[in-house]
Amino acid sequence: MWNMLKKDFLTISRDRSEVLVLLVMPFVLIAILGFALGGINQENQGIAEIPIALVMSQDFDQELQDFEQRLEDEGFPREMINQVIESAEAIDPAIMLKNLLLAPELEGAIATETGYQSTEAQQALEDDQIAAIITIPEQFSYQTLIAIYLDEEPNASIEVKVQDYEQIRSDVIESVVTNFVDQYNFETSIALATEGEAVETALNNEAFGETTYLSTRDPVSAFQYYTIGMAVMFALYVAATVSSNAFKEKETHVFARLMVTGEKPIRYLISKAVAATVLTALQLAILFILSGLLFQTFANQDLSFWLGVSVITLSFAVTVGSVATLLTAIALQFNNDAISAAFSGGIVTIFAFLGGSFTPVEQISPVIRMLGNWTPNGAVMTAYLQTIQGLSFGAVMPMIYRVLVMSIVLISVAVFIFPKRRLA
Amino acid sequence: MLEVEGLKKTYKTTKAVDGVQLYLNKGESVGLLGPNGAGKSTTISMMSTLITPTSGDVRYNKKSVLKHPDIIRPVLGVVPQEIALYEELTAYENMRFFGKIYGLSGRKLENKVDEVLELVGLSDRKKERIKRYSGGMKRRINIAVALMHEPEVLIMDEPTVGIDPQSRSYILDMVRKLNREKGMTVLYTSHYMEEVERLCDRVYIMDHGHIIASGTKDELKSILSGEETVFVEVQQMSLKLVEQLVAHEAIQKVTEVEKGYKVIATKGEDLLADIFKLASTIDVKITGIHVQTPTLEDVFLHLTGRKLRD
Repeated sequence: MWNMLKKDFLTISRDRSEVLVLLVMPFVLIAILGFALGGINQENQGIAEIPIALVMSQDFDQELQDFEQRLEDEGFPREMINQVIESAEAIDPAIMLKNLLLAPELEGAIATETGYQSTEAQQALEDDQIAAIITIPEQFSYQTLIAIYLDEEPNASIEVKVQDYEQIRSDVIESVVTNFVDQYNFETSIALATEGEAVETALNNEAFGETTYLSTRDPVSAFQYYTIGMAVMFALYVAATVSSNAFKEKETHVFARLMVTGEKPIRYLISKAVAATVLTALQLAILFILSGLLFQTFANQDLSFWLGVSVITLSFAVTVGSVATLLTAIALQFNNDAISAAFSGGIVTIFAFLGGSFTPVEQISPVIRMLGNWTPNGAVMTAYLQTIQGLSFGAVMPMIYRVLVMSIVLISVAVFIFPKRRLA
Repeated sequence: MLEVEGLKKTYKTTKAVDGVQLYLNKGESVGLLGPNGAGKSTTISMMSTLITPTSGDVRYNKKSVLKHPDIIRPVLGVVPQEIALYEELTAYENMRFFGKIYGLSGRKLENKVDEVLELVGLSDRKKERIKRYSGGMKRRINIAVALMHEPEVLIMDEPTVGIDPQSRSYILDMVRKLNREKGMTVLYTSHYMEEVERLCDRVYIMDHGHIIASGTKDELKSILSGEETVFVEVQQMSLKLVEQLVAHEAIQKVTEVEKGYKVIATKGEDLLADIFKLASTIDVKITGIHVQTPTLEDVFLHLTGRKLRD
């Protein structure tokens, strides 16, 4: 396999036109677009303040009384009840969440409006006045407290209703809530444990939501945006390059020569997948590193950022590898390289547009954004941008899963199509 | 050792190969002679398990290689008509690549690369990319790659097409050396009759997908034992002379060649005298005349009515 990979790498790297397309062109475009659109994009692309509604349907005082009554019913001594009620006020999750959302640290990132009733908030969401509704339901505080102190099954959940699941800002809101839940669980456990009681975490993630972390970082810069946009677009050309190379091998009878040696066709196909994967990973790494060194695109990023970027890059590289496999299978089976030409000449451009390589498409239409997130480049572009904005790895995972599933489907189809033994 | 039985290949309505029968004994050098489009390359592709025949079989040591391609692939070296090499890689890189595909590694691989490069006379040019090679050098590396695993059977499909006489001669000497000194069984396909005559013990003549004649070179030439070929060189070409020659009862065929005519005629005592007489009657000056023993080209012409390179 290494032998085949080395051969593919050498043949492609020695072809100047390929190097030009795969490395020089994207880099030049990053530079041009980064400098030209820097100012404009900075304004438009950053996470603008996200307006949300916090609807608090519970009545904390009433629920605290209900909780006190419950403790009495359970036969707790009065002194202990007073102690618990006193600490319960301090750890009420609804109040803590409200304080978090209104905290100065979130100023400029999230604008929380607490005056809405449930129906008004719903209307505001539909009218695009707000991006999300966070609802604290009735009995929330009561349910939380009995879960914590009486170790009952938690039956409390914060409802988060977002305007558009595909938008990055929706992810931000979900992250805020889930981060809060994680933090709350952790701190509550610590607080109770330090009073000498062995306490299990009563509130679990499932009761509240799925995603974590909060982004308070700078907006995505033009250089960051176009480094990602151009890199994921030009990475798709690797697939066409590899499949064209495979077709050239068939045309020049090298493929036939390989088959005469006893080389298995499936091994050959796998070698193309691996070659495209490695080449894509290298191409992306080179573009990111060059952009970082010359334009300070990813300055001051921590290890977790680079880890996230690495995982996304590898996942995307695998997907490009699977696209290359499919193109190779089609070209060789039908003895025609038109598919590679059509891919590099048209499909890449369409995918690049839908995926947002040229411009942030969510500003044009949420439908295009949604479609774009179903292209391999669009999905990973969203993942990269989320990572740049500091979203958690968990928030990015759905897009990674998406491209990995795409890869499995593409490879399966390619293996099905590819000639199994002989050429005719 | 290697037998081909009733091999057929049909593409839609075209019969590319139609019931070919041939065999190769161990250590033999066998020629497959025929014009372009005769079906030679298709036959070779089926023998090397690259394409599936419509019917028929190929057996190696009595076992069907169509059912078990893995029995022949390790012992078979195929030199395709095309330059099946990576043009962007050097000769050395190409040979290492294919050597590794054949399972060689380490010192054994390096030694083999050096040995084969020496054999094809390109040791001093091994670091150059194939695309910078001349046609003859490319042909030699094309052969070299097929020799990396020391095959028992070497199938060569028109290995000298489009190269200079010096490279051709080098390749022919090399093939003879492989056959005579290393005992390699060779199936040599060509439409150059002189190559096949020089290299091969036995010859199959193929045309329109059929084997039309086979045997040793002498056996094939004996087909023309009752005939002789006379080259008549004239000062000026003359259509009238052609008409006169064709009208002669002993002459079967007259074809135009450089500076004169090639005459195939039934052997007879007075033929040369008759030719001089005919020429003098129409004032055509004969500047030279010689009688040639039959060649395989003549045999092919006799059998098909066409030249090999038509």
